[in-house]
Amino acid sequence: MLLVDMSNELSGRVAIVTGGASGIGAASAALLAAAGAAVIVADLQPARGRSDGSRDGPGRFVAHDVASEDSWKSLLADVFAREGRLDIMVNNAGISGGPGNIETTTVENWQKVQAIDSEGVFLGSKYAIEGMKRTGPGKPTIKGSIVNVSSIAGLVGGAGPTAYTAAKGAVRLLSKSVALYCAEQKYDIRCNSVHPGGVDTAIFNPLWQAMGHEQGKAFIGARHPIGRPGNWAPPRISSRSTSSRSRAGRPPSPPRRRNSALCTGS
Amino acid sequence: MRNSIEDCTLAEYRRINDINSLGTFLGCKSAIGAMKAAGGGSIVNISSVLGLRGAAYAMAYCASKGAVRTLTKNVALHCAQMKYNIRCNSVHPGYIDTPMIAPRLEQNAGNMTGRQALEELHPLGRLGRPEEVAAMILFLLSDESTFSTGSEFVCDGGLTA
Repeated sequence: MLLVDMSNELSGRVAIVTGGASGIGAASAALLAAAGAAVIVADLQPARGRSDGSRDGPGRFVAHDVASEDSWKSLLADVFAREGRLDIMVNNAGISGGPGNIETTTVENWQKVQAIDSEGVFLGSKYAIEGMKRTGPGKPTIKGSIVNVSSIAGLVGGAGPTAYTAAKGAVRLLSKSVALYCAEQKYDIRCNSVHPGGVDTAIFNPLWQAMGHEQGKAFIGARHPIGRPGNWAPPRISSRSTSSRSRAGRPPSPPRRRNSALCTGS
Repeated sequence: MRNSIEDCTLAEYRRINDINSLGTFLGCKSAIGAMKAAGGGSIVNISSVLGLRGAAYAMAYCASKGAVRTLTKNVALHCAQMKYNIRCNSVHPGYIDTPMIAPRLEQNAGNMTGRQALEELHPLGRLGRPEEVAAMILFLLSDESTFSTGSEFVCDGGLTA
């Protein structure tokens, strides 16, 4: 449940969320939509559909493979044809690659994980900037925000498989370099990385299959001081109206100064 | 040379990460195989200050060195858990006077030479010498450092202080 009324925070903005059909991506897409953004859910497959044919989640679905540069070009072309601009990129798509330590990880597995978790974020950052420049040509009106989902495995060594740990460390530093470059070019584009711990999403499916879902969650939960994995379920956004009916006579409150406006490279 | 997010191609990103990151992965894998047989050992992976801080024009290099930083910890913890008596640490040099930076020394910046511009990045006011990094590597490979594993050892003239 959002504590602050963000319902107009992102109105008029267009956001792409990769891996947005499930898990953290879906939760992000839901919050972005609730904040007023037009959201494009870019994923290999849409979320599970409901029986009436509608998709289980907000946003417009576009089939996308983050590891393919051609797919990025098509995605951007599609977004510019439909929504006409890009303001926000959430590079969230990722795979664990299955369990693997330094001894058991093969080169093939390493390359598969890097392609999605590292190269996919590199391409996503690159095409984000291209889209944001196309939206607001000429400095300083180029504007946007890129969020790259890294992991605690981008911070510590024992939180994930070997190839995943390396890829998430790459995302951590890539994000800082992108942030510094955009600042130096005087693009008003921020770039930050997010480092989730264990969150109960599809990335853990290999582990849930290996040890059972409940046992797996207990195992992961025990590794966090707080004692449980993180939750991804999109918050129920209050359907309470912000129209004049509930705010009779009062003018709308002015937009809040965003706390994150100074946040880049973090 | 100027490898920013806009300049860098996928092929170049992959090439730099293959050499620096995949190469280190393969080195660790091979080393463990041999060290297990020998009863133990010490692995040193060369990361960089650019594995600690971002750089606008060395984006792929930063990514690759960030990967080495966390890969090192993953290897260290695995070897510790398996009781192999193998340690693994990363070294993070600043700008060291070696052939790798020769092109940068040519890039004059305003009224400073390329060399001066790089020297200025370091509070100690100079570039590092290869033997200064080698001394740290020797420390990590020797019995002087037997309680250190999964750690970051910085040799940067104060650049990241």
